[in-house]
Amino acid sequence: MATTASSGYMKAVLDCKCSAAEFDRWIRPAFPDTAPSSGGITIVGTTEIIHVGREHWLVCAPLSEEANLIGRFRKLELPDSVSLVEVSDSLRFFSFGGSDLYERLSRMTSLDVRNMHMPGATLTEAFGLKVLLVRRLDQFELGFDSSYARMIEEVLKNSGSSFDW
Amino acid sequence: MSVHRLNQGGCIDRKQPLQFDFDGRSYSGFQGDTLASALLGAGVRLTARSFKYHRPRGIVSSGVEEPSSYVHLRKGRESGSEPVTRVELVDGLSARSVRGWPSASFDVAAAVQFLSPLIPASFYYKTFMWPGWRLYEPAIRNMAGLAPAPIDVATDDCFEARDRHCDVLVIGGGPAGLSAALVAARAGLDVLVVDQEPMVGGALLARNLHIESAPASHWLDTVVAELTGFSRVEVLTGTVAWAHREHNLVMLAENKRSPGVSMQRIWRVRAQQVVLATGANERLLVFANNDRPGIMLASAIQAYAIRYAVRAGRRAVLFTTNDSVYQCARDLHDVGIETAAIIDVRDTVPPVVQALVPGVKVMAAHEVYNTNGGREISGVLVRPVKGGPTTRIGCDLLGLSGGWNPAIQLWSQARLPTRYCRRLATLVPEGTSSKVAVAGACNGRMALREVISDGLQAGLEAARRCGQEPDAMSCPECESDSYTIEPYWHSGNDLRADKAFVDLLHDVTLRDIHLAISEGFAEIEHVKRYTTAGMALDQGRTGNLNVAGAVAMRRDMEVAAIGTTTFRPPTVPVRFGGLGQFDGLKILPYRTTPVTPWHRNHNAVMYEAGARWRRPGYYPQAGESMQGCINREARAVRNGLGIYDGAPLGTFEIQGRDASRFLDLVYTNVFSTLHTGQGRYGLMLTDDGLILDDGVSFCLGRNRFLMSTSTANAGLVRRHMKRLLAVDYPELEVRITDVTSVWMNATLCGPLARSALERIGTDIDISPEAFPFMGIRHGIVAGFEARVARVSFTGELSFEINVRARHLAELWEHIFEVCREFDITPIGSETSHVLRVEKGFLSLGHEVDGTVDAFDLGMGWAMASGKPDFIGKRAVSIRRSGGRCRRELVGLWTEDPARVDIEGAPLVESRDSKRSVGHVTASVWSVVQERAIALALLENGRQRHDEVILIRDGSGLLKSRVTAPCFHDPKGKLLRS
Amino acid sequence: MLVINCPFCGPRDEREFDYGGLAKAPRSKVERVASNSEWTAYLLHPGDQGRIADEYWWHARGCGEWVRVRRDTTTHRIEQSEVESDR
Repeated sequence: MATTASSGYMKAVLDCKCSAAEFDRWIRPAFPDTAPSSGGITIVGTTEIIHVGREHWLVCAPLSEEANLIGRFRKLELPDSVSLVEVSDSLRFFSFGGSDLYERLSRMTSLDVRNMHMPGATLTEAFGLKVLLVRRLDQFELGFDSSYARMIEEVLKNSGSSFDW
Repeated sequence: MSVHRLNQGGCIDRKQPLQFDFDGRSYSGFQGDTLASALLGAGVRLTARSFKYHRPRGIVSSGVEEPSSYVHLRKGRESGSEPVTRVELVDGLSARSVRGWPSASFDVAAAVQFLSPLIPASFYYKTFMWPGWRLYEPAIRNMAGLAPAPIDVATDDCFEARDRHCDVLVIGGGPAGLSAALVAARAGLDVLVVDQEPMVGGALLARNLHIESAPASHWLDTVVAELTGFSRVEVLTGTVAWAHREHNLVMLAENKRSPGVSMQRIWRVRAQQVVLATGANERLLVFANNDRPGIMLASAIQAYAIRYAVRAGRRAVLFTTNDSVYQCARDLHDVGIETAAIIDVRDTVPPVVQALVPGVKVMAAHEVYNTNGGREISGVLVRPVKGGPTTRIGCDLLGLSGGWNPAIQLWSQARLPTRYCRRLATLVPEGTSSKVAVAGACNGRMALREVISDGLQAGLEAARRCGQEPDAMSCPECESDSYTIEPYWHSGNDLRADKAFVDLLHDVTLRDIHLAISEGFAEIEHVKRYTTAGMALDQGRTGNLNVAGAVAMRRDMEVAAIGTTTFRPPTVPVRFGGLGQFDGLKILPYRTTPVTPWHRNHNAVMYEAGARWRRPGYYPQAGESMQGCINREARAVRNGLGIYDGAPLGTFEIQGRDASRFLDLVYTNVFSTLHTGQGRYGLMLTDDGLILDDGVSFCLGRNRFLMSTSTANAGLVRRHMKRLLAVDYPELEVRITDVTSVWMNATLCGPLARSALERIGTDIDISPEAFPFMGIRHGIVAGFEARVARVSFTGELSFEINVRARHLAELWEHIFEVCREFDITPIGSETSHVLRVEKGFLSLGHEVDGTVDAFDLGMGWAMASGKPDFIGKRAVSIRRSGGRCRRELVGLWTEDPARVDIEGAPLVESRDSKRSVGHVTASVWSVVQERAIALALLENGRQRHDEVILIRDGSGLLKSRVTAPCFHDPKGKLLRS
Repeated sequence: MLVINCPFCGPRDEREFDYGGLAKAPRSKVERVASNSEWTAYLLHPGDQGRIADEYWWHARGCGEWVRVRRDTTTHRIEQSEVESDR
């Protein structure tokens, strides 16, 4: 049977808004050996750099590494045009996998999640709400605004097929 | 077996007998039966009563085109009228025909048939008018109409909704659809095949056809085995495509029935390419008494015989305009149904088809013009088409074939054109589309060979458009049956038009068509609506073209010139549970704060607030009334210490080279002059001069601000700002980040707030000199990193303690523990409302109602006239320049100090006034004044302080005195302390 | 449900977007030169729509771009979609 959806968890998340050139100049140096951004997700160890909008990135890491992640940028004198905001508390993540993964997703989101049509991570909608959707091998991770966490927990309990054919 | 059920053959499982009841009597059938095949298999021939005239009717077809027998199921627990041909038989099924009391078989209302001359089409516009239609309506609706609404609102039935994407969607699992799917599948594409039957095969299941010298079922099995072997191919059976929408969005309904429960799953499929292989259905013929039980579509008799091993009768007459009944007659012979005669309207019958039925009497150039029988057909009356002597032929079965109609509903919904094809005497798809292909009988291909190669071609094109170049597949060797047809709509000779039905399901006769035309409703759209022909649940599939033909004959026009009516979704009825996505996963979204569990545990009554938040309304203690509770909470804030969960407040970090310029643009007042740590209350307008929101924005540093908005409008403000930056001012460099759920606050309010904050523990200097009103400070509170702001929505000294959301619950608990000595009281939105009314602070939705501007509300100080431009500035002055009398914010003292129930009441000058001069925007019990107080908008209110104004309260009038809109601390000393 | 092509995210279902009204000239350019009656007309007039609608869709449940779309309102065919700003 399917892996049940876990209850929500937090990650360390930095919200970065700046131009692509500024991102490569100010933020990317903290993560050596990463290629310039062109959409999708770049993974550096346990950190994920997700290009979610034209001038918008989310830098994510496990919550235990929050201090480390923030510390990389604390001493930098970022220009006014580079906005870097700690937003870890505003996102709650839920991940699930299992044999009925795609069936569950088909009840949640309108995004085309078939392998070759999806970048590794993107902003999209699920349950009518804005969500950060990350694909990893056979698992999907959905990040919602944390104020919806209780609602998502309630809904995900029922996310397997509601009846057997 | 019985005389009606064959011992062998068919797609039924004789090892699984099933019991069911129909109209109160029990019968049995088999797994694989539909209710229709089971009834025919049990010898039940009278299964329905007609819509208006309650004439006895039987089962006419074997599919969705059924124009006659409809039932409701499960003693009314399932909604809707289902055609018996589409109900999958399950054990214990309980069905009742929709009309006929006590049963279709014995119907008391059958007597209405004798009134038929009085109730032709549109009779309800001409008869039953005096003294009033309402008198007759209930009785008429009871006698006519369809199934009643279900008795229970709640349902055990299951619904679900899913999204699906695919490369190629093939609609129809017959030979054309399967061929197309095979080509696409072999090209490696993602293919979804849907078919409305429980198994694929389409017409191959209903006839004895051969492919490569073997029964077609062998080819079918091979193809299905190969298709299901591909990992990227899915075949959905029992699934109907009911709508084609923009950008190839196709709506499907997957249905399944189990004993006691039925299930419907709605699919929203987005396909790159759609292949329509929906087949064609046969149509009926029009003559007098063409509706008796035992009169069926010829191909339906054949389908029941081949697919369900059911003999619908023993001795058949077939009446046709085309070649297809001859092969039908041959198949009937193989199962023991004798064809007494084939009546063919054509002058000559092609020898190749006549050779299929060597022993059968064929009467060319003849027509059936009437039938005999009571509860079922007993014989047909035949005469030459050009006129002549009559022959009677006895029979218990009459098979009709007026022609074949491609199922073009989805093609038409895709806004693709159709045309009348003379050679096939039917409507066919015309033209091409880059996204939708059509193949098979649906495309006007009548021979199996053509059908399969059409499907292969469609699959090839679809695969190419998806970027693949598949290998060509050759068409297997199979029958290339001929198909010719002579268009024939009804007899040109003497005919009892009032008994010749063109639409069985709505009881529309040829006479009604003539009546419509003679009354001036001659265009096809008018004929349809006047007579209701084609408007029933079957959508006129077996009769629409006959209606067009009848109109053409009456008006002496070409059928092609008559035109057709529009096909609209759904193509078949869809249950409301499916349409409404009655899916357990889809609930109304709601938002909570980390302190919500605490609120619940402390007896808070939770409200649905704006922007989907759930917030505490008030916290009643044992034995307290709601008003008593609110008074207690309000007193606590005015005299001691209150606390509320301000987490839902919208908050944004705004940064960038042009951040302060942007704030000056969106707010009415000036923000660019703020220094770090300072905040200001601002009004935000839309460009049409109306108030969008209010809130406080703080300067966090050079070019960095923290904006707070109202809870309910956070989303609107965000959209407003983002649009301005993207569309109107793209040159501005401003970055906005939503931190509503990052920093969440617990707000202390009341005279004891400062002392309480000291007790809670902070390293911030909270003395009034170091931390004035409207300031924001960073530091540590109770060991947590915090941003503390001095804003007040209650009018008392107030500290909004913002911590990261992960700490809020712990902070809240800590506060309650250390502040016990202050008798700290949690307050909810009801109390907040009272407190702000006492202060005259504006509330969006109460005072801000889309008609007033800042000046009317006494907030002219917030409208910086010095700024050259801000959003809404110009519109405000344009509105004010009209010289019209303005409604202004005032307070009211009602003469009766106990009246709090006047919110929304209009204000009038005198008893006889017809016009109101304002209204009450808010009315509460004030703990400070110990009486009712109210805020109102009143014309020229600011000049009318101390005057008396009347409040219209229902039928009475209340006196009240106008005053300033503030009932507590008008100079704001307390909140600045 | 349309499929709208977001210049950054690619083709996405309409459910990710909020409708943003018909495209009008940018506020900043109009306000400067318009008389009071021209300004009022600009604010109140929803925009001229012929068969081809020139409209905004906000990718609210996506990257947040404002996408300008030209759409044939009789067939829903989308002729082009682009981001307004050039930044």
